[in-house]
Amino acid sequence: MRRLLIQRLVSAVFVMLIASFLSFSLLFSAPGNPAETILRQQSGLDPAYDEIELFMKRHDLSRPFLVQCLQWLYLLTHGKLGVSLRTGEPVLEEFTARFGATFQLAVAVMALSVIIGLPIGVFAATKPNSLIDHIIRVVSLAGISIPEFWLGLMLMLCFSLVLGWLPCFGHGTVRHLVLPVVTLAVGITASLIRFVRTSILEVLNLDYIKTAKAKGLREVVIVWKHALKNALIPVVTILGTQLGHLLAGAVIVETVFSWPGVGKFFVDSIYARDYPVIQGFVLIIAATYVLVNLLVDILYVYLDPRVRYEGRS
Amino acid sequence: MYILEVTRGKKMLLTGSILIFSFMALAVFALFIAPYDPDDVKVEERLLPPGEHHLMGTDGFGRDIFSRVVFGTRYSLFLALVVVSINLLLGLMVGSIAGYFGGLVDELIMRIVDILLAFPNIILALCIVGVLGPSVQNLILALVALGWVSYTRVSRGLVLSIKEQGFIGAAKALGGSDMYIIMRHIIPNAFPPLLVLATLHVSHIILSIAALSFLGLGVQAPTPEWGAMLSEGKQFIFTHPHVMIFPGLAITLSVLSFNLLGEGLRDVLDPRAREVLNV
Repeated sequence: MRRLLIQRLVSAVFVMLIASFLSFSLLFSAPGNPAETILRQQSGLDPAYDEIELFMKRHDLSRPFLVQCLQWLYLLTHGKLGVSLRTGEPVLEEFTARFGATFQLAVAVMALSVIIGLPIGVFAATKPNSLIDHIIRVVSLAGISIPEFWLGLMLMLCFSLVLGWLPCFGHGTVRHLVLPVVTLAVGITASLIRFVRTSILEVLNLDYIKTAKAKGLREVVIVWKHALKNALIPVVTILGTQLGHLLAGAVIVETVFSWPGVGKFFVDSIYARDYPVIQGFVLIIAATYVLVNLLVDILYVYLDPRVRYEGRS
Repeated sequence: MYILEVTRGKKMLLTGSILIFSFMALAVFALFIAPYDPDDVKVEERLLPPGEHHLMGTDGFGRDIFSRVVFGTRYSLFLALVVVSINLLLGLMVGSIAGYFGGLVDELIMRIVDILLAFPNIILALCIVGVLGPSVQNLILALVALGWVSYTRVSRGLVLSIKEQGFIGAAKALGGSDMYIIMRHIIPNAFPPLLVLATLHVSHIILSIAALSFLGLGVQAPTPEWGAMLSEGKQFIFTHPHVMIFPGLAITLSVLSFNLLGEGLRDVLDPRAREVLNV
């Protein structure tokens, strides 16, 4: 257990180092001068040469690559991700201020997906190849095929414009939460249904289920108590990887619904070529991803005592 | 029971294949199928609802949406196939080298792969396109940057089992060079399962391209790519929703057809091949 933890932590640090290097080299492969772009955006005019020079000096943009990279890493170890070129605020603060809105979205989506996806997936697995199983399979396949941004716009059209039930933009009340959450949950629920179904079907073939059947246990007890327990193990791993989808989806859905979260801020920063924010975002996303997968690995060991981690096989 | 399984799988396989062939046909014969020039701007005919003359209506510039959707298959399908092929070939090459030689080379390659696997694809793609600037080349670059990784991992696994088989030993005994063995014996044997994985990935890539184009970071606006069309039509969503509906349906249907094909293949394949693909 401890070995696993140390091994994972070391590789997490390694991942973060590579991530910061990657995001830093990206900046240097960018065409055009960021200082010029920013100044033009701020004033709407073509900036003068000395203005650009001054801006670059103030933001340390004119030093050599390795110096900037080391400087950045040094600041990073002190928890400083630099200052947003657009707003002038520290990047980290910009993110923490917006993190709540994204977290709210993510938790609601995960909860909704598990509440809906788990029972449907188990139900489909108990009636393999029946008409209802067939319908669930095709519908969930359609669910993972719909692009989120389009689904969001269509839901907006239907529930805000035509029916007038829900607000289409903004953030604050529960009513504002409904459309973005449903939009994101469709794809994640659909893939969850598929994973749970396959997972339960595999478990139902095992010997201990046959024993339970031979003992005369009721089908409901076998499926929901005995099978589900083992089938949940791969499902937990999937939830970890689904987080990546969720983050990516959040970037798009937040943009569509003007949701004031991290994702929208990121896209706006890309449009504005706000490099410190883009770099910071890569690091924060990588960190979140690594952390969640670490948690999933640990959870895995607790859920399944058979698992012994001995490095990559 | 077994027969049911096979026929059901084939039904999905069949539907998926038919749909994909239809999309391919649309792409190839776009010139003959589309009733109008997709780039023909007619200001007096802007935002017409779907009707007799314009099957799916016209957009904000008076261009025929049906023709644009038909021509759009060229961009979406072609780009997705290009990206997936590059990923497949790159992944297969690197994975074969890692699996065949083993040792330090393998360790080094797989470390890099593990690290890259830790990143969510579309986020890094967004960063690459965002920093390098939106263009088709950068879009392909961004989707290849992380895309090859999963193929590398799967093909390494395949190669590890292939190289233990008798005919590899025989080829070595006959004096075949490493390069010859990899190209002649390893890659042809690892290729078919990877092809199935690639089918599953096409749908994923179509979605990514559409999403990036929708955000204005992929294929650019006047091009009749589906995501770019949605990006352009966004402003008319509340006044003229037909501008948004049809390109979105086209994306959904094309993605669904590749997903159906992938699902069908998964069902038909033997369980061992399935295991490889679930990695």
